[in-house]
Amino acid sequence: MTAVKRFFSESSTVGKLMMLIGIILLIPLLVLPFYPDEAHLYWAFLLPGGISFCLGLLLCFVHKNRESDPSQWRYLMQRSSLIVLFAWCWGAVAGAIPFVLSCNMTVVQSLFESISGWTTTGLSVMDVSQTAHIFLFFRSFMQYCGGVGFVMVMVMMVQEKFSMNLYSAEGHPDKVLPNLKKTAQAICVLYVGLLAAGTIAYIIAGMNVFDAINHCMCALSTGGFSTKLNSIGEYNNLAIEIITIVLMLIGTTNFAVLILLFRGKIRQFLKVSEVRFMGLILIVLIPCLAFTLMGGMGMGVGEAFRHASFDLSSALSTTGYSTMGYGEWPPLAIGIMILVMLIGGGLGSTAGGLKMSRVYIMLRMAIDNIRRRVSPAREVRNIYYTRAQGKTQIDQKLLNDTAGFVVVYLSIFLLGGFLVTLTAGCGLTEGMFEFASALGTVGLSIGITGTTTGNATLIVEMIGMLLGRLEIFIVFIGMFSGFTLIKSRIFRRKRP
Amino acid sequence: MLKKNKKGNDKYIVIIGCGRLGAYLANTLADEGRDVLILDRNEDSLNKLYDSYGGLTLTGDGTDLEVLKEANLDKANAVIVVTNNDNANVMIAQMAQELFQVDLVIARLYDPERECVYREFHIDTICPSTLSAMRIDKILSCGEGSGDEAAAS
Repeated sequence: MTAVKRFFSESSTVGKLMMLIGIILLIPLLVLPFYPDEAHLYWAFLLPGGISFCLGLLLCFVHKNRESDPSQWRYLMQRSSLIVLFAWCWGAVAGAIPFVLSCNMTVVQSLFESISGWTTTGLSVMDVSQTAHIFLFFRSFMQYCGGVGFVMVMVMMVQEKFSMNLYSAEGHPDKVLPNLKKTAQAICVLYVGLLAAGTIAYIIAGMNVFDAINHCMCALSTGGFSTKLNSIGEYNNLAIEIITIVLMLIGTTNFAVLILLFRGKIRQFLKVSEVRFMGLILIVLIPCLAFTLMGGMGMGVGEAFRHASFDLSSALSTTGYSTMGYGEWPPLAIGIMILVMLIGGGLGSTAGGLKMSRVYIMLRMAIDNIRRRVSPAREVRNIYYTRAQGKTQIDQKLLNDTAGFVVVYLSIFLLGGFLVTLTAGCGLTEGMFEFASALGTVGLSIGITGTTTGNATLIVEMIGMLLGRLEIFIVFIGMFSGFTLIKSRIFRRKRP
Repeated sequence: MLKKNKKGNDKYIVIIGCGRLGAYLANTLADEGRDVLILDRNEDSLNKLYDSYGGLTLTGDGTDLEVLKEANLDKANAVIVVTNNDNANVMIAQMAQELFQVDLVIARLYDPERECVYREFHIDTICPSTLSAMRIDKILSCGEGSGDEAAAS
């Protein structure tokens, strides 16, 4: 056993990630015994899963992780970004193969479905009412694993020397326990536990087992694939909606904060800035949205509040479950939804978007800036915010990072929104809504993305989803290091 | 739980002082897959840790009881005190032993003459100057030995 462990901790990281993706593709086969009439679909999963697993294993045998000096931070950062980027692209391709093989979908549509799954977006070009159960389960399971992240799952099983670099490259900023492997294990145990609890709650509320598992996986990972055509709205059941809201909000909370909550440290939990900020957003915007809906669509008070609280939580947590279509919503309501989708979920959770922490820090900075203008020039002021780990000062470095990210994010949002209006030939509001939904990995659709959508729009949205899930910069650093790597290879070959 | 903690690799080690020695130790121990927390009063010194360091870090004064509590010192199996101040080291080591009942406390001290203080409190000490002196002495005697052999042949 220890020999196997040692072999894997020394072997190629890329190989291990490929094996992991292979295993994830094989797991949906477990559904087949329950639905024997779909048994003929087994090869659609066995083939890509097996190939990915075998290639990974081969790579593990052939290629060892090179011993390198950990103080070469620049090389290491580039290498880990490249590996993470490769893993996600490989996952997207491998995940698309089952759809191509047996779902009557084009290559672009399959890739879209697969990326939408791994990035926990939930935009779909499939007609779920005519899809086999194994594919529905596969989509949900992709979201569940994609929500946690490939590297996190890998670190849970084997730890190698540079796991920490990969771990932070995938966008997990938190360490919870004094050991990376244990941190990953704690998070995964928490996740599986929540899945079990959520599934049982759904079953009690009246779902069948298959739908319960699927919806729970997608709610926790803030994914939003549904097994029903009208998403959660199909059930029209208040209990199910409340359970979904709770699961979505849990999914959008930072892992470290969740662990605080489940250790029973409620007071510390309530002090965390992100949690307070989330509460504030929900308290302020739900009534706004409800009143807009009442005025614009003539809904009753109860109905308006029910829709408002569900759809707003769904957008804020970047899940993408909906209780109704958005086509007839008044423009102000659509505007509120776009705003909330841009804000997004919690830093270091399964959610996407700008992240609440960043928005909070920017707002604090703006307030502080105004205050500074009216106070004496020599006054010294430090601003703090609270994380799960304790009080943290908002220093210049953090501000720079945050501002940089926000600017890049918003630029990409505008650019993508324009591109969607161009490619899909729709209005500006619809284009913005759809791209905000893709970039924030939300998955709400105003009706542009569907079975008949053109390839160009799908490609724009795919890029948006990948950028949104991997926190933008990693994609750029990864691509840059990929180019430099190839350039240096060619250059070296030419010289002798 | 306690039993599991005592088992080999599951040791939780707290290092106080992130200087050259502290950072090196933290990097090595975390690489070996142990549970490590490193504490320093100055946030900039934590930059000495590699990016691949997988343990926890904490900024705060090691002589502050609240900070030590935050570092979960009562759950630590070993505490290594390597700040650059001998007096602070004595004090922290003593706190770790008396208030948090840590089994193994190792402290560094620069001044060998203070060792008697530590010995009275049953704290293990590492003294760089004594160690260097011993090592130099060994190299010197080796050198003489080989010189004698060379002369004999």
